Amino acid sequence: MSLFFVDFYLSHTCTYEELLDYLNTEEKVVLNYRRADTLGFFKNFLLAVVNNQSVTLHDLCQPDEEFNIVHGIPYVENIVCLPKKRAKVTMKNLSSRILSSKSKVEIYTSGTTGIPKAVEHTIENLTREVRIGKKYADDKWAYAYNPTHMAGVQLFFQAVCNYNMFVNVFSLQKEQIIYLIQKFGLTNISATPSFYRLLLPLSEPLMEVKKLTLGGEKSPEMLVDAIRKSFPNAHVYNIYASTEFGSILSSRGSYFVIPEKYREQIRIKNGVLEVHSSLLGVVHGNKQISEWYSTGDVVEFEPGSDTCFKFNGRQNELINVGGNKVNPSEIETELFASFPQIKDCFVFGRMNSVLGSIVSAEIVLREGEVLSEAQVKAVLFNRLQDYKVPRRIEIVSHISKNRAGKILRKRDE
Amino acid sequence: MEKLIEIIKQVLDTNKGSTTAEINENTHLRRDLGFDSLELAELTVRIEDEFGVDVFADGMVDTVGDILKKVK
Repeated sequence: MSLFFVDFYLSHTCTYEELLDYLNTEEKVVLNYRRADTLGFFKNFLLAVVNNQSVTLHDLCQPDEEFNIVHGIPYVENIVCLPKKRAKVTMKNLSSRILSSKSKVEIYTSGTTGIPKAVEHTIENLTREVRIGKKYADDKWAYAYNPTHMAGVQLFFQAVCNYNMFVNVFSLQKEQIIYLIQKFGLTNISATPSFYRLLLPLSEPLMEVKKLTLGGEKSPEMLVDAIRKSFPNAHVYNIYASTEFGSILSSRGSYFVIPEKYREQIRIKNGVLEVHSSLLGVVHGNKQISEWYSTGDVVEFEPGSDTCFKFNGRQNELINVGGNKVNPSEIETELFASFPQIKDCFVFGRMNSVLGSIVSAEIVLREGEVLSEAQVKAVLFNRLQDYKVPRRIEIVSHISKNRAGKILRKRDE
Repeated sequence: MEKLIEIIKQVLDTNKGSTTAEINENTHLRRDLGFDSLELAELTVRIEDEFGVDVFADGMVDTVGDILKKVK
């Protein structure tokens, strides 16, 4: 009995046999599923996909009030009846039934600023980077993404098309995650840098994990080093993806190279990565006016190269302090490097009428640690130019993150 | 007034090291306390946090007394 999905928090377990039984007998499919049940969501999603029904993916834990504000109308479950007699889904054809589906999937962007927008993708688009084969057959995943956002959806397809098992660790505590990785002998983890930062350091390295991917945010070198120490047998990859175009780049180190197949469709213009409209999903109500879509991600070429580059923050994330531009990621890296007492930190611009913006920071300390604003500044003044030093530093118990686990960059002023 | 002086001292302490300078209504922020624009910006933000007012919103403020007027 091969396991499909495990949800520790809700004590749900499902095997592939049970999944197939559901896919072949269930008569109703929900096109806008919103119940707080991840396993239910996956089963329903697959049911829709193998029956060519189009769906909209909504956050499973979003409060009704927020839903009403974003969509302007109260939520009503949209249910469609499926024919009783339909082509049987089997272990042999599940993967091909998924890959040949005509369903369209609407996904909301998590983004880092602004109001969520919906992007519609074909299954073909969503499974573009799925790799199927013997070498993936024994992968067991720690599933650490929001299942209704792009990263989670892509990971889902990679796992299910290879009949892999995946265990839900999204939003769990560190101890629970480690327990599950050990209990199920999980081999693959795919998550945001924030997830790893909160998981590490481990008291004992986890030897079974053989592949780790990071995506959704810039991965600092120090974090990757810490990851390698805690997962000594793992290959570490950075994935570059977005809700607008899925994943298009991956790298073994910090440097990415545009793959041959995308050379005509991905380019760098004025230091910003741009993607050709042919790779994008559709945003309804938006006329795609230009052929090239700017990702807003600033890149920096490896010295001496014009093909290897790394990401250097977002274009509109830079804090403008009286004309001097500050990259918040750089300050965060500095904070982590200078203060081992810091567990997590968030650097952002705070508006004021003297200089436009000044650099501010929220810091979460490790348990039992003590650090004051004055101590932090004293060190930073010696290491950074004065306009880069965060002027207002608050020690907090937790940092505001949005639902996909990404740190919110712009505060609502 | 005391709260304001406390805030000013906070800015001086965390940026320039502690000061024992006497602060009163006529104290000039730039001339007497040596505040640069970054420190003034920080001061504004702290005053805003405490009093809910952006004291520099309609032009430069020169002395402690000027701030008090805006904050009342």
